[in-house]
Amino acid sequence: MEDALKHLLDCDESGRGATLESLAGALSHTRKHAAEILGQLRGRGLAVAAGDTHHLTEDGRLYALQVVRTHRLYETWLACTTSTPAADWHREAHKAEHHLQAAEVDSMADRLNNPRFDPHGDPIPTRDGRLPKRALTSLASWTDGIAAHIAHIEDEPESIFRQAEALGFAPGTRIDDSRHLADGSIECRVEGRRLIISATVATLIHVTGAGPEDTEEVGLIRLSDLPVGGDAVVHGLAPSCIGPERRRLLDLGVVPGTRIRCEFASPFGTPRSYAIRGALIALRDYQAERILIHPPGP
Amino acid sequence: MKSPEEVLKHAEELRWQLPQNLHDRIAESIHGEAARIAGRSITRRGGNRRLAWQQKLDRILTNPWTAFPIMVSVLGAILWITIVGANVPSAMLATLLVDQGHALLADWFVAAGAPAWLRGLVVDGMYLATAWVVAVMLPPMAIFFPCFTLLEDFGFLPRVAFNLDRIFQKAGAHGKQALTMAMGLGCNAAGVVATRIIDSPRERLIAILTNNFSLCNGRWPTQILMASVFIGTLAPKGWGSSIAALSVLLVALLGFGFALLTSWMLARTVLRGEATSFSLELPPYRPPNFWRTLYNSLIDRTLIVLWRAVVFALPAGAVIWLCANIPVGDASLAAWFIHLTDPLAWTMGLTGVILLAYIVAIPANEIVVPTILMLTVLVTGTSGGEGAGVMFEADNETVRAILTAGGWTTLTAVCLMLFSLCHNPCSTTLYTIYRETRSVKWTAVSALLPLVMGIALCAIVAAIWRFLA
Repeated sequence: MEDALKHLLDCDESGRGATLESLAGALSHTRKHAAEILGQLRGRGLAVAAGDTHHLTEDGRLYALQVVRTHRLYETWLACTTSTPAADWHREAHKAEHHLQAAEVDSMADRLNNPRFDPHGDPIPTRDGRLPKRALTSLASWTDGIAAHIAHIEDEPESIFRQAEALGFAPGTRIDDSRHLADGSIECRVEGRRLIISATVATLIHVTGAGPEDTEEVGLIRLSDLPVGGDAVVHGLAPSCIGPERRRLLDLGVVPGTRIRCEFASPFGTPRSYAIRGALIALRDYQAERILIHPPGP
Repeated sequence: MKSPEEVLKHAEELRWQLPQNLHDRIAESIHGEAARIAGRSITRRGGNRRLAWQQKLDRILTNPWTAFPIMVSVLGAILWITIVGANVPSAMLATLLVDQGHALLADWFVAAGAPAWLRGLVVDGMYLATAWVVAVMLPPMAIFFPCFTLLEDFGFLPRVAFNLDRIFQKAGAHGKQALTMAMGLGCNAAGVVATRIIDSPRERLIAILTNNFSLCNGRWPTQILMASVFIGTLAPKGWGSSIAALSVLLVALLGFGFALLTSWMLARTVLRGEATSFSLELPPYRPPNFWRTLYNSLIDRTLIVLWRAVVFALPAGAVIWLCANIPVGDASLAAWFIHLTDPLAWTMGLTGVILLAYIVAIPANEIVVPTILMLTVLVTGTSGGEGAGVMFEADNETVRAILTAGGWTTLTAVCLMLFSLCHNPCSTTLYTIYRETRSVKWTAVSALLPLVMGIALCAIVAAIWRFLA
């Protein structure tokens, strides 16, 4: 039933009406089953029918928003306090949204300092049921050459989301020098590396323009690309570095302005040891990839 | 003038206009500001560059060509020092506590006119088990752990963790697990305590749950005895001891493989969502403080672990003696149990005697072999034992004679070696795991996981062996 409410909310928000077919498709159930659920919703005063389409009542909308709030808060909680892989967030939250009580959700929100966005960049409905609308553009239709910030990454379908996640994308990641290629994929520069984003992945990614205050830092590279023996200055942590991992790096003193030097590598190439603030710290490759640095001067 | 409601509403609207990663940016700038303040007010003596000889040493210790030979030879040297160095004090303690102490105590009980059952329970059961554990356990631990701590203080061990981290990363674990596993070679309980050096919760739990796959010094004697009595004798003349040593090494390596495999399984299933963050500091090399290290490792590791072992060995000794001496119908409790479990044990390539020995020897692996010998003599009725419920040890030839009379084959020895590697941790270790994790669930997992693996492994090996034979 929660899933049906979410579908109706989606349809109401986007302005298209939900039909019996669309609901059956969203729930992957038969039409008969979908009709039963709609009947239950109408019976509880959560939905009304208008011709062929179905809409939420005000009560239904609040209820649906509460479900969405639970889902997105739970995802945030997973991302910030556990190390659940990003690809599992959606599935775990989908299970949790059915049994978490409103009071539990509110106390979770308090502990997380009332976050506004979930780790995919979706806004989290507030306690009193408000959900702001944002104007986002798909990366696929973004103008070439204009800097963009990733604002949201759709987490379904999971297999494509995994690809986006493997590229190290997270809300806040900056994309520069983008250029559409003939096959619809996009070539661009992300955190000091040139990447090609396939057309299917690009449709999952929504971006906004870079604000006026953040001008591009020319020539940033990742710490993992620093050669052994190289000196550098830390620019910051990539937005995809979250949760315990991020806190740990900050605690070690990996903050903007810190001088860092790659001392030596282990026999297998990773981890490598870095001199940071007088200490010798070993970092694995995936950690060093998320630290942006100004490369050594000439 | 706006009403409070309007102000709140306005604030709420503005809130959504802030950049998405505001919290991260604030945290970052707080850390950055703290670093700037610290940088302004602290003056460092000397340069920031590390000392040249330290750099050179680091390069040698982490070079792909030199790192592995150095690590292997250091571990080999420590094991050699431990085994050779522990031989003499272990033999002395055994003479003192097991031979003389046992006889002396028995005489006192006779002189005091104590009934036979009381003498059996206290002297043959409780005292003997405890004396055995102390004699086998104390000398190796008193040598192994200080050596380890010295290397740790010098700064060598963090480099080992650094070199091996890649392997453990593949298994979802932490490079420092290499150290806790090496520590487990001395004693699993100490290895579990040592996992405190891993500060990421998931990797620490993995290290705790898999430490049992390091053959501890209570199990080395079983391995060595089985290898030399049954496997070494299969080899051509003159090669016996080398083959025996090789087979023990093979079992130890198998344990290392199982630890990695289990780590990998745990990290991908039940521990998938546990918090994790990697960090490993490589401290500068410094000369260790010899006497303080010696004192600390004796007190912290050796004595605490020894005390727990003694606490658990006392009741175990009583249980062993009672098993062998309480008659049920026309046979002792032990004989009934052995008779009933023989078919089950057969499918695992073992015997009922071994199963009973492992159940009563949960407190300490050191007494498995003496218990097996005592029970075999009890059941088969061959001569050579010290009496029902009295554990004893013998030279290799006598052991072979007793065990062959008990129906043992090479398969039994191989399966016993595997089962000794792969079974539940001793009660000292289990208690330590509970203390460290504060969780009944993880303690149960740590007990059942290797046990189930061991039973399956032995059953598979026995089935294949019998199919081929």
